[in-house]
Amino acid sequence: MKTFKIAHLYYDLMNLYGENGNIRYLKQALEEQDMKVEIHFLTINDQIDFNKYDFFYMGMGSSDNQNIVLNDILKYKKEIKEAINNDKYFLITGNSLDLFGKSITKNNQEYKALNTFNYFVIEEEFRIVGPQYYNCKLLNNHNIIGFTNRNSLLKDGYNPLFNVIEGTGCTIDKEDTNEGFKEKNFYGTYLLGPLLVRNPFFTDYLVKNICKQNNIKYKEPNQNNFAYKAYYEYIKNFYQDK
Amino acid sequence: MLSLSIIVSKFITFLCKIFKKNGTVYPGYFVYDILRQPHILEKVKYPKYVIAVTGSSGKGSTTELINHILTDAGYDVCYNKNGSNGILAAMTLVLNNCNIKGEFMHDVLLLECDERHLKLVFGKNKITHLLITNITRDQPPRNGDPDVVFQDILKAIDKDTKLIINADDPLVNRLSYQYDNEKIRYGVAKTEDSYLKSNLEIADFAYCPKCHTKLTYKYYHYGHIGNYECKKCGYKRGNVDYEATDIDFKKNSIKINNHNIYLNKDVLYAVYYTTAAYSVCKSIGIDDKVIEDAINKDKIASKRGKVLNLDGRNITMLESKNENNLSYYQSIRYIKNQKGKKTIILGFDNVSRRYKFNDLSWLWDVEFELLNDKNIDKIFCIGRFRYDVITRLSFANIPLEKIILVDDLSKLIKMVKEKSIGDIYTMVCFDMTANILKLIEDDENENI
Repeated sequence: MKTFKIAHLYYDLMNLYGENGNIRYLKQALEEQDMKVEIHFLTINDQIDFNKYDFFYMGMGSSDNQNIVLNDILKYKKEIKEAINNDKYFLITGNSLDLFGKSITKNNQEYKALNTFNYFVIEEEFRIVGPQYYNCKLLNNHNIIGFTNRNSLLKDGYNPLFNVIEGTGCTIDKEDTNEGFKEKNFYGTYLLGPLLVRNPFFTDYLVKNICKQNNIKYKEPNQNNFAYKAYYEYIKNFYQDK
Repeated sequence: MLSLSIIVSKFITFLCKIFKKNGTVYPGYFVYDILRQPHILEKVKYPKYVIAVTGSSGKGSTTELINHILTDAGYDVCYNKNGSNGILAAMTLVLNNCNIKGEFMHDVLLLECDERHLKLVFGKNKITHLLITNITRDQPPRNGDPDVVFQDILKAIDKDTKLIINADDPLVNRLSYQYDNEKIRYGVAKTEDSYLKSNLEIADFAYCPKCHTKLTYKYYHYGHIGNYECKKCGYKRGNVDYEATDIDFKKNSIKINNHNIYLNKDVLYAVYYTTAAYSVCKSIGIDDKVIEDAINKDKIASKRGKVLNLDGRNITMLESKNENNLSYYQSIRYIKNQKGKKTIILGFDNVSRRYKFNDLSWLWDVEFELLNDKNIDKIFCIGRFRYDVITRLSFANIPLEKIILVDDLSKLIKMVKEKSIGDIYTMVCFDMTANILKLIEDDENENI
């Protein structure tokens, strides 16, 4: 049986919003496909071997904690780029997405970031806060729900994961519907918290692809599980007829 | 302009009374927005003691107790009794208690104040004593993250402000090296409920604010609150000026610096507000004996946790603040510490009553795992987000047959009576508490 290894990166610094929910839900979903799943919690001062894992997750942290992580993660610049090129999975939520661009500008000072992708990030004085409703081209008929609370704007080099139906995308420009970043198996979004729990169909999409990549026959999940009901209930209460 | 503002505030308050409107905020709004006097409070002649109480939780109870002790000690105290703690309510309170010359007419202004509004209420040089209870994740859509909150509090500190700080909170305790002000540090010693490892592997690890090394804990009380030390730079909780020890919830008693003190509620947060109030009163020079008498002899009832009855089963209403995982944690801890079989009612219709945002992420930071307990008979999930709640509970190792979904709230009482046993605990937010109270009342009336 395949042992699928998940690395929860900087789990104790980038953990403002119930991020643990993502990994716990993903683990359960993969186990339903008869996979054995291991979760490794990694943080600064750990030697992170990017070859060892199949899936990397990082969540949202305070601005101070993001600084600490930025200082540490830069030493893995090459390994991260390689891992993405080798089709490893990355799920990056909230302001951890900032780290993968060319630079982050805070208080008029520019800090070099991982330079994995071509975008750059500017931290504003205002915050973008609120519920979000997105379309995702990867899914048939199921929109994405979630929440954002951040002060960073992502500029240039768009390759969006989602498109805004209601809410705010990478910039505050109303015409701009780009949200998040996708390349190969890198999935990044400014949505915070337990994205995979709240969007079970998105999780199913990831799991299906993981199965395919590992030559495992995908079994349709049991949609009686409460996460699907919570998803439908939320859409019904807040976005019906949209 | 000050005199005019005072007259306007008093006049609007008078009108509110006549028309039976809530007059806590509106007079302040009139002065702030319509007269455009956002800084008018800086002109008030304040009394000798201006005490502000701020922090993510515990403000209200601490303020009540400080008022009780100071009043008992003979001070004429003016405080925001109704718990309305923003700038507009503060403006109303202060202006209404000034004479026409702008002189504040009481010995003490005691203000429970929202963390983000503190800087708006007080210009520099006004707060004589500032108590900070804790800084934890609380209402993130409004507050950003804890760093943002902390930076805002700093803006209200003047060099002459005496700081009374909860040293068990490494984020608050930063003040002990960042500011040279006179300081009193308080804390709570290890209790029976203290722990070293939490069920939630990732929540609330704290890093040293000085050198960013992970803090080492001797024990946690909850969240990042506990006894910590940085092995690299030496930043630590250490010895505090006022420490609660010998915590005995069964006898409702603690010791503060070896004085026996009564606890009006058998929960940890009561230990905190009692120790905090004690420290504040000491900082303005009140004698231990006077404080002891005020707390021990003239006991005040705690405001939360009304106990009702349903067919001979006690119902305890524990209001738990949404978007504040530690508020829920303390309710869960309280329920666990009670004897006998228990039934829990859990859920909400709206995440907040302040804004319409529905961020549900905090559900995953609440340690619901503690509810996997043989004495818990049933958990009833109510409210518009009951499926989100049950999804979370399904990951907390609680057997699903113990969890009951209530689709129609009007059936709740009937279902609780038929399907569960033991004392009943509601762990819900403010709006739901009112709904459930109504259901219990209706049920009582039917049975008469």
